[in-house]
Amino acid sequence: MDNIKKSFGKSSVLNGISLDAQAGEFVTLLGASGCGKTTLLRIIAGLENPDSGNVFLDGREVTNLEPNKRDVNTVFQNYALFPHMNVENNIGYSLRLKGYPKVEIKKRVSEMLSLVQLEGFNNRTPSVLSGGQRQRVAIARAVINRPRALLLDEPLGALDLQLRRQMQIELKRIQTQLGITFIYITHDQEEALNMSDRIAVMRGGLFEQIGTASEIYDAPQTSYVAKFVGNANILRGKEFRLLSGEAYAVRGEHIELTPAEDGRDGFKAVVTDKRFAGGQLRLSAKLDVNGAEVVASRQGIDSPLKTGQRVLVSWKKEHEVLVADNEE
Amino acid sequence: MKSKSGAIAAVLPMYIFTLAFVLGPLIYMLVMSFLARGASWGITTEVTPRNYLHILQPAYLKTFTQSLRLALLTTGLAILFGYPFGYFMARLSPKSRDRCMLLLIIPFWTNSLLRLYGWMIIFRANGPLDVFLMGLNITHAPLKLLYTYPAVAVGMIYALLPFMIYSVYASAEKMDWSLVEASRDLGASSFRAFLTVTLPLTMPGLYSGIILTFIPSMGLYFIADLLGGNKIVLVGNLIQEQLMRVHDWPFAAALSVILMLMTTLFLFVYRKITRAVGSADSKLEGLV
Repeated sequence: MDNIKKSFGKSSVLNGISLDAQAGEFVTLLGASGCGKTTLLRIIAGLENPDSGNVFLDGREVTNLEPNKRDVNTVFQNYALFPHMNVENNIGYSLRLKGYPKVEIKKRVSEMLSLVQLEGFNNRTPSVLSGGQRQRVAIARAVINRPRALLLDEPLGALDLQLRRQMQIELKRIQTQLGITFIYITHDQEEALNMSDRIAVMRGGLFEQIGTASEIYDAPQTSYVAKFVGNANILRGKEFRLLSGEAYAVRGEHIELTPAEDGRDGFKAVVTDKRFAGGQLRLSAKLDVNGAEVVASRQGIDSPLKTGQRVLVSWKKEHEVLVADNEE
Repeated sequence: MKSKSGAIAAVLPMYIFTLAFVLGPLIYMLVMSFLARGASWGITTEVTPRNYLHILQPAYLKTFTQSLRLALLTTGLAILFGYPFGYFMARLSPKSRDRCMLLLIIPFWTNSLLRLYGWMIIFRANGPLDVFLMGLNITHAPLKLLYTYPAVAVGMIYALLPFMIYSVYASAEKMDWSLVEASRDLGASSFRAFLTVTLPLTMPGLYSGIILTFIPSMGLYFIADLLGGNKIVLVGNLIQEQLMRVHDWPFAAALSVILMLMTTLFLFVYRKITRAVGSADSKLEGLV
C-alpha cells in the first residue's frame, strides 16, 4: 500500500498511509476505534476506493479493481455468513462461483472443515452455530480459495475471553499452516502482541509506529504507543529533566513503591487507589512534585501498602524509555 | 403459570369474531350459491346446481379468463417495477428513505375513486396525455385510451404497485448488506451477488408482495368500471352487476365461490412453486 488517503465528507479518515506486508507475514493493524483501520482494510479488499494512493498485490496494482477481481478475502467483523445457505455451501461459495466440479468442491470443503476443526458440520445452518463456530466457518470460507492475503476485521471481537485466547492460537496455526499473509485488525493490544509478526499502531488515520511485537512493546517511539500498548506510565516535565515534547515511558511492572519510612531514593508520593484488575494488582500513586499519577502493577492480589499511605516511587534507569510526547 | 381456561378465554373473542364475520358469511354464501333466485329478488329454498352450470357459458368463462389474465399481468408488472423500486429505496440514506416513503403514502390521503377519476381525465380523448404526446409529435391523433384494456391495466398497477413496493422494501431494508460485500469479496460479480444473496434473501418480501397484488387484482371491480366502461368486464364487475342490478343473489354467490376457489388454487400452486424454489435456493443449484 502506498500513501493511501481517504475522507468521508469533510472528515478525513486516512491521511496518507503506506505499508508493505511480506508474503506469509502476520501484520496487525492496532488502533482505537475510529482510527481508520477498518476503512484501510476495506480499501485493501476493494470495498472502498481510496481518494488517492495505490494498493499493490504481488507487485500488481489493484487500486481500482472490483473486490471480486482481487486475490484477497475478508473475514468480516460480524462474520457475514449467508443465512440461507448451510455451512458447506457457505464455505464452498467461492468455488461454486468459479464453477468447480461438485466433487472437487465437496472435497475441498471437508479439508477446510477439518482445518477449522468443524468436521461433520456440513449441513448445519449458520443460525444454529455458536459464535466461535461461526467464526471458524467465516475463516474457512475466506481461505478456501487460498487468497494471497486474508483480511480479518476484529474477528474475535464478539467472543468471550477464553474463546478469544483459544482462537488466537488457532488463527496463528491456520496462518502458519497455509502460509497466507494475514492482515489483522484489532484494538486489543494483547491479541496484537500474541499473534503478529509485525504490528502497525494506527492513530488518526496515520501509522504511529510499525515494528515487531517486541519493538513496539519495549521500544515505543511515542507516548501514545507506549500508553496504548501495555499501558505504560508517561512521565513528562522538568521534574524528570525532560524537555517539552519528550517523555519517559515506564511500565507499571517496573515501578517500585516503597513505604516512605524506608528512605530509599525516589519521588515522594501518596497511594491514591488500589485495585485488582486483569489478573494484576494496580496501585496508583500521586507524585508530590507535579501531581502526576503513576500506576504500579504487581502480581498477586494484595499488597501491604494502603490507600493514603506515603510512599516513595522509583524505577530503574534501564526501564525508562525516552519517547516523543505526542499527546495532548 | 396461567391456567388453561384463562388462555382459552383470551383467544375466545378471536374465535367468535372469526366465526361470526369470516366463516359464517362464507357458509351463507356457499349455501346460497346452490339455491334458486326468487321471482323479483331474494332467494327460494329450491336446491339446484343451476347457478354453477350457468357459469359454464362462454361469455362468463371469458370473463374469468380475462380477469385471470389481467391479474397475472398486473402482478407481473408490479414485480417488474415494484421490486427495483423497493430495493433501491432500501439502499437510500435514512433521510431520503423517509421522504420516499412519504411520497408513496401521500396519494393514499386522497380517496381512491377520486384518483381514478384523475386517470379518466388523463386518458380521455384530447386529455392531458393526448395533448402531451401530440404536442411532442409522438402521436398524431387522440389515442382514445379510456375504456380500453391498457387503461384498466394501468389503473390496476397504479392501485396495487405500492403494496409490492412496501413488501419488497420491508425485506430489503432488513437485509444485512455486509452479506453482499462478503459475496463480492468471495468473487461474485455484482449481478451474481444479487442472484445468489440479495434475491434469495428478499424473496419473502417478493412473495408477500405477489399475494398482496394478485388477490386484490382478481376482485377489484371499480377500476374496470371507471377506466374500462362496460367494455372490460372482470369477475368483480360481474358479481357486482348480478348482486346490485340483476338481483340474482344465488348466481352472484356462485360466481364468488368460483372466484375464491380460483384464488385459493393460485395460492396453493404458488406455495408449491415457492417451496420448490426455496429448497433449490438453499442448494443454489439453479442460481450459481
